[in-house]
Amino acid sequence: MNKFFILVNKLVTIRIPVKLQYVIAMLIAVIASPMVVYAVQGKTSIDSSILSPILITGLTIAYAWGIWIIRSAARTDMTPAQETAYQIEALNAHSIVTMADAHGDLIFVNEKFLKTTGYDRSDLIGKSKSMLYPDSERLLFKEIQNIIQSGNSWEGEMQVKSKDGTNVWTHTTIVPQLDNRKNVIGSISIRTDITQSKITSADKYLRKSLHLLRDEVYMFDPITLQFIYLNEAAMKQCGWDETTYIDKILYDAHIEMDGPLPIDPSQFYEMVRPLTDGEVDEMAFELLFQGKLNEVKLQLVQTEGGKPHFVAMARDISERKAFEKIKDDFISTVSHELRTPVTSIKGALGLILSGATGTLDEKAKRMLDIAYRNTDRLTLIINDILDLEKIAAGRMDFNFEPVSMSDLVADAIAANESYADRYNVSVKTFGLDQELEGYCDGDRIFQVMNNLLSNAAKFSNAGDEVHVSLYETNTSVCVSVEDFGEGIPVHAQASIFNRFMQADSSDRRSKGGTGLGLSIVKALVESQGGSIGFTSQVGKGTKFSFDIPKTYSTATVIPVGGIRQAAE
Amino acid sequence: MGNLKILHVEDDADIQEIAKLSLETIGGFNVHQCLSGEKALEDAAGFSPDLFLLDVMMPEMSGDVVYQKLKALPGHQNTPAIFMTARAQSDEVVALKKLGAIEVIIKPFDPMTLPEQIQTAFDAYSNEAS
Repeated sequence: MNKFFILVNKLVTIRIPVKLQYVIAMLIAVIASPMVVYAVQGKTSIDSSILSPILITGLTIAYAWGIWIIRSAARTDMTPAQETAYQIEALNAHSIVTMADAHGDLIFVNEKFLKTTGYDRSDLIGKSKSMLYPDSERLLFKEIQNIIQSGNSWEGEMQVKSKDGTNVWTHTTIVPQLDNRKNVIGSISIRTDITQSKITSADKYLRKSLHLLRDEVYMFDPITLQFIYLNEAAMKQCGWDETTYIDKILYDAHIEMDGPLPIDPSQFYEMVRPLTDGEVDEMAFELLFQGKLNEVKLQLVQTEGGKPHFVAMARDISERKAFEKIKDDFISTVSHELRTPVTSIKGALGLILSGATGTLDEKAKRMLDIAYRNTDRLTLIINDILDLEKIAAGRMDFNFEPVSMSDLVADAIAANESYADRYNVSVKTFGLDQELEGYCDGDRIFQVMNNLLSNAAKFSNAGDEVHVSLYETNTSVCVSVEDFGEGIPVHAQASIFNRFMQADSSDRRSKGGTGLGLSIVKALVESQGGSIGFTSQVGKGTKFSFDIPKTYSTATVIPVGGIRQAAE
Repeated sequence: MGNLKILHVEDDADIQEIAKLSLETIGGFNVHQCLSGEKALEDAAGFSPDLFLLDVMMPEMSGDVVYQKLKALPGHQNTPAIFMTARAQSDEVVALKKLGAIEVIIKPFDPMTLPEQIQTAFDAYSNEAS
């Protein structure tokens, strides 16, 4: 009997048409009747003549029972119209549904579609369904149109453009609607929103990529300094894994920065204040990390709706540093090797020219004079190359102290006297009687003055004056050097501070110099917290002006580039 | 200029010759020259100089080491030194002055003014010492 009940229960889970239910009930009754007979006979010894009314009664009961079982269990006596409505309800609950006519204009959108995309029904009905496709899916749109027009269905992943312009990833089935002659008279699209799973898989992909990076990636909370994420390289560096780094804070990573990291987190907060205050987007540090020299770039990152967190990228630069040292040593050695013969040549020529080795005839003296002048040029070139290299590597050292600018300018003019004489130029000064102090490296500013003065002499006409002025603003001391020569052509003005730039490349030969001078001057002034500029008029002359701070300014400890770096 | 006795250590023979001409002919100094620090340490006692004039970059023993060893010799703990260097980096100049250099002359030097430079530095040092 148990098997019989299971069969019936199974039957009722299937939707059975009402007519079929009566047939099944009859069958149940027929199958059940002998059992009823057997049951009666087994329990009693009644005459067979009275069996037939019992049998009829039994059959009737069994039939009614069968009907009851099926009706009570199934309750599926819906009309076909009700069933269709029921199916549509289920479809609408799960899927995003749209229908279009033969022209591809939307004639139906369901509630779920409106909810997912943010449109109102009035935004869509009567409009071409192409408006739902983002620009990136244009080709796909055409391809799908062709498939539907040919009477076939399409299934795949595609994006749908929401009202706010964002895209929703969907799994989509599009079925053509055909008339009796198999003409396409419309289409129905059924979509499932898969954006979330797309994001999850993209997230996984990103995480995997981060893990494969050779740079170490650390993310940590800006307040507690607790680690949120470490990539493989970072975990390896610290000797942690996914389960252990979660409990660790920044200080557990054994970072040394000119000694250990500030013990008090408040000092760390102070250090990264430019980031947290939004003054800079990124800070770079060079620090010892697990005993190795690392360059660390730190950013404060906040994603939409997320909490802000620090992202630090660390890269081992010990090899690069070793290479840089080799390069520096090489340049220093080469410069030394070059200076040694230049010292001999210049010394020997100087002694001959001075008459220390006997008198010279005029022609020989002139020739030796040219040779001597050119050894000077060679020395200047060597010095310029060395300076530029040091500036480029950020290794130019400055000895900052209060410097009397009037003395410095006067000294520079005196040192440049022979040069001014050579070009038959006289220097006139303005404001040198003021006692003005600048906070700078006097030797380097002397170098700047030397360069500006020699340029002014070089580009003056014979007999001209060069005007040197000293003045002040509230915070700075300013110096200007003005010549009344040919001026800088407009086309060359923008690049005059560039390396190897001279207004006319033939100047390099006729005027001397490497073309490195002004780029060095600019770097020297800016590295000391000052600025330099010029005004020039063709045919009238050029005026270079620079300023340096009167007192210690924070700018003087920030290398060019504006990012604070830890000392090497 | 006076009769200063100068012990000059320079590994480049050409520069040595130019310096000799400059210091003796123009400066009128009494000059003894050595091509290496080792030689200078040998010769110092016999020459008993008033001043050491030392090249910095030398292959066997650099000028600053030579100076420290020369100062350790009897009678020379107060003998001043002037260095000549082709490395015009200010940190090196500062380091040499800290070591006791009374002057650092940058190469290439001017042989016409070299004796004057040396005499001026020596006089300033002597005035300070006395």
